[in-house]
Amino acid sequence: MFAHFLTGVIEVMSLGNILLIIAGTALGIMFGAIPGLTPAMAIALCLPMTFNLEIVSSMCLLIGLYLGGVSGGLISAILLRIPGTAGSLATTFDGHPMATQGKAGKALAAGIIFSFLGGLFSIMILLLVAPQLAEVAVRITPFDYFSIILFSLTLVGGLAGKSLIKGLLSCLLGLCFSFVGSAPIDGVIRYTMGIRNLNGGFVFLPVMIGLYAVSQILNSAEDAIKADAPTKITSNVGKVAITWKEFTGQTVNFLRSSVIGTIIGILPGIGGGTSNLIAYTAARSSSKEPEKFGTGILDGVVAPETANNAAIGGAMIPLLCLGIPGDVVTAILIGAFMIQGITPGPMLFTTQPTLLYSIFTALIISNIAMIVLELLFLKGFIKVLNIPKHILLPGILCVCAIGAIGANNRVFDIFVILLFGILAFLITKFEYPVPPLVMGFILGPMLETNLRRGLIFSKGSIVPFFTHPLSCIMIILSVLSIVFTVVASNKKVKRVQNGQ
Amino acid sequence: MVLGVMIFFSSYTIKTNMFSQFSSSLLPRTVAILMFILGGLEVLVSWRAERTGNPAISKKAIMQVCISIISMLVYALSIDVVGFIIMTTLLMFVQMLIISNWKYKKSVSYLIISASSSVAFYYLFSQVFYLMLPQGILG
Repeated sequence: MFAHFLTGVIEVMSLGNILLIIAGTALGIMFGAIPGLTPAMAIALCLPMTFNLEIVSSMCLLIGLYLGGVSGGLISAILLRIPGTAGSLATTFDGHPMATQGKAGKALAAGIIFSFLGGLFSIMILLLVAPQLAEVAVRITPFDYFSIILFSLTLVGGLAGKSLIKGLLSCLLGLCFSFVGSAPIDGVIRYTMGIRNLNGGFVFLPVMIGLYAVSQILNSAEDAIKADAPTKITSNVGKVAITWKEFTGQTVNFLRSSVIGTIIGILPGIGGGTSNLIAYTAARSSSKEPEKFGTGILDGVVAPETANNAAIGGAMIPLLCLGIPGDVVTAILIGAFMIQGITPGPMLFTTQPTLLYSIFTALIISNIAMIVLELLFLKGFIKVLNIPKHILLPGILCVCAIGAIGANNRVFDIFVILLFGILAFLITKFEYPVPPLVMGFILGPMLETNLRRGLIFSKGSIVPFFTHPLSCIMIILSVLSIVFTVVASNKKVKRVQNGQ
Repeated sequence: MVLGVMIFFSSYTIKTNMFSQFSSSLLPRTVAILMFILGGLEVLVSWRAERTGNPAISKKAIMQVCISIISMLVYALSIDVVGFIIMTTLLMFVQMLIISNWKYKKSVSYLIISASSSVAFYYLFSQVFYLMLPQGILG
C-alpha cells in the first residue's frame, strides 16, 4: 500500500501537474465567487481540455476546479449576500451581517481557514476509511433515505426566523416548486401549465439567482428613494484575520460541521447544497446563544463553510468506491474518468491503486492552493465593496443572466430568475423566510423519489419506514426536532411577552 | 391556504401510469393538505396577534420596483431577437439609474460602463468559455 501511495504522490508532484492544480483552483474560485457561475459549469467548460491530457493531469485540473469552485462561493455570500454556489447559502445568514458591521475581513478569513480545515478533515477520512464508508452508504435503503431527508426538512425550524408556521409554509412552497416538471420514477409531466420549457422542472441555478440576486436588486430599487440609502454595501472591512481565541473557540463547531459535511457528502444525491444548511442549523441548535445567529456571528460562518468543503471528500467516497456520483460535479467527474477509459467503482482499489492515491494527493494540494490563493487575494476581493451599489448590482445581474442562459443554454431561464426574484421579494415583505424554501426545493425531488421507491418496494405499506432501524431513528428525531422547535418558539414568545 | 387547495385539486389532473396508491400525485396531495392546515393556522395566529402592521411602502418605492421588474421582463422577452450586447447594455443602464435614484447627470458614464461591460462579458463568455449567448440583430 505504501508503495502505491508513494508512486501516486510522485506522479502528481511534477511541475506541470502542480501548475494545473493551481490554475484549476484559481479558475474554480473565480467561477465559485461570481454569482451565476458554478463549479459544475467550470468543470464542464474545461472538460474538453482534458481530452489530450494524461489521466493524472486531467484529474489535477478537474479536482482543482471542483475544490476552488466550492470554496469560492463564500466570497460573494459574505460580501454581497448572494451565494456564489449552493454550498454557501447558509454563509449569507451571518457572513453578510458581519460584512455590513465592518467585519468582512474577519468573516472571509474565518470562512477560508475553516473551508481549508473542513476539506482536509474529509480528505483524511477519504484516505483512511473510504471503502468501509462506501459499503455502509450502499446499504442505505430508500426508507432510510426518505427519513434522513424528512429529518433534514424538519431542521428548517432552525432557519424559520420569527415564526415556525411561516418557516414550514415556506418549506412546503419550495417542495411545490420541486413538483413542477417530470415526476421521479414514472416521468409523468405535472404542473407545467403547458409550458414545454418546464417539462424538465425548474433548474436549481436560475432559482437560486432569482431568490438571492434579483430579489436584492429589487430591494435596492425600493431603498434607493430613501435619503439615507447607503451608496456602498459597506465602507469599513475591519481586520483581515481571526484571533487565536476565536479560532480555538470554534473547535467543537468545526468538528461537528466536518462530520455533518462528510456524512452528507457520502450520501449520493444530497451533497454540499444541503450540508451547509444542516451544519448551520446544528450549530444554532447547540449554541448557548441561538438568538445571536443571523445577526453576524463567527459560528454562523464557520459551520457552513466547514461543512461544504467537508462534503467534497465525502462526495468523492461513493464516486471512487462505488462509481456513484454524489452531486452534479461528481457526475461530470465520472464522465472525465470514462473519457480516459477508467470506470470508477470497487475495482478501482485493486486495478488502479496508484491513481487513487494521486487523486488524494491532488485533493490535498488543491486544498493548500485554495487557502493560499484566497488569503493572498483577500484584500482584492474586499475591494469589490468599494464599488458603488448602483454600479455593482447591475453588473452582477448581467453575469447572473449569463449564468441563467448558460445553465441550460436557453433564454427561458431569465424568466425563471425574474419569477423567483419577485417571489423572494414578496414573501420577505410578509416575513416568510427564504432559506426553508430553498431547502424544500433542493430536497423535494429526493424526498419524493425515495418515498415512492420505498412504497414500491413495500407494495404500498408504510410499515418498513418505521421498522428499518436507521429510518425509525430518523423519524423519531424528526418528531423530536419539531417538538423542540415548537417548545423553544413558545418559550421565546412568553419571554418577549414577559419582557413587555 | 388557497395555494394548498389549488395544488390539491390540480393533483387530480395528473395522469398516472403507475400503481394508483403511490402515483406522482401522492406527495403533491400530501403537501397541499399540510399547506392548507398550516395556512389555516397562520390565519388564526395572525387574527389573534396584535396588529402591528407592516411599515407602509411609498408609492414611489413601488414604482421603482415595478420599473425594475418591467425592465427585466422586457430584457427576457427581447434578448433573443435584439441580442445580448444591446439588451444587456440597456438593462444595466436602466438598473443603474433606478438604484442611483435617477441621477441623470451621470447618465453618460452609466451608459459607457454598461456598454463596455456588456461587450466585455459577451466576448469573455462566448469566445473564451464557449457559452452560446444570443447574437440578435448584431449577429
